[in-house]
This record gives sequence, C-alpha cells and structure tokens, in this order.
Amino acid sequence: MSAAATPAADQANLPLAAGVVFASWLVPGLGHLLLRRWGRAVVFFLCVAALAVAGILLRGHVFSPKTDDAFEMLGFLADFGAGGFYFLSRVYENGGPDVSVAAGDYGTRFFATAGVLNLLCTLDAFDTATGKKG
Amino acid sequence: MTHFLAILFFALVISLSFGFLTKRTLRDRLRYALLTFLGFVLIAVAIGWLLYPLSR
Repeated sequence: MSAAATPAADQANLPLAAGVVFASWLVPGLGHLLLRRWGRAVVFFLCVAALAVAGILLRGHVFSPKTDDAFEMLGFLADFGAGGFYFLSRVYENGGPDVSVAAGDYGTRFFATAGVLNLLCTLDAFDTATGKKG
Repeated sequence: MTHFLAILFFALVISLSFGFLTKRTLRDRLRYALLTFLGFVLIAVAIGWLLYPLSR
C-alpha cells in the first residue's frame, strides 16, 4: 500500500478532494485537470459535453426540481449531475422540450446520461485525489 | 438524427468514457473502448431485429 492511500493521507487530502469533486461536478474534467490528469480531463469533458449539448439541441426534456413525482425527481438528479451544463440548459432558449418526436426523446436520455456520466467522472476524480487510484 | 446514428453516437461516447475510467494504459483504454463500442452497437442491432416482428 502506498503512503498516499493510508487513512491519514486520506484525511489530509480531504479538503483537496472536496475542491476537486466540486470542480469536477461543475465543469466536467476540471477535477482531473487540477490533478494533472490531462488525458482523462479532455476525454471526460468532451464526452459529457457532447452528450449534454446533443441533449439540448435535440430538445430533450431537462427536469426541474419542482415536482412531486418520484420519477421526475430521479430525472432531475440525473440531469443535475451534469453540473454547469444543467444550468446552461436552464438558460438556453431552444423552443422548449419536444418529446413528441424520437429526437426529443433521445435528447432527454442523452442529457440524463451526461449527468450520470459526470457523476462517475467526479467519483473517479475523488478516488484520484485521495490516492485510491492513480 | 436517425436511430442508428443515435446508437453510434451514444456507444462511442460511453465506451470512450468507460475505457478511460476503468483502464490505465492508453492501449488498454482503446482496446476496452473498442470492445465496448462493438458490444453496444451489435447488441442494440440484435435487439432491434428481435423486436422487429412486434412492430408490424
């Protein structure tokens, strides 16, 4: 076991890890960029951005937190994982969602996938920051 | 966007991400991404053909 992976080292890295997690969530790949993992940073940003932008352009439905429906809340949590792209989707005017056609339905799924993928990347950044992963 | 283009786009993006999330060397990442990409596309096409009789 390396020194960086010990519990004491984990404790010391927690403020750094918290910052990295927030940065990684807000801008996909930024957490890895701060940790100097250039390759992963670029790939994660491009992948999450491609899915999120495709979701917005295809007029997918981006869920709002103001709902009583459990499934819509799950959709919101997935979408919210996209960080900055979620806020971008709320201000970008594209005629509103249109899920009456297949493209709009794909857009909804693409955006939710972008959110969940960004959460996975954020977990990866956390593991890297705490030394659990190289 | 056609259905097939959508699955190609989805498979490409997700397989690349999975490759970089799970593997450490570039060679391993690209190999894993390629296998995952083919898996996504082939399984999607196979499911499409399996469901084809129900669409008629």
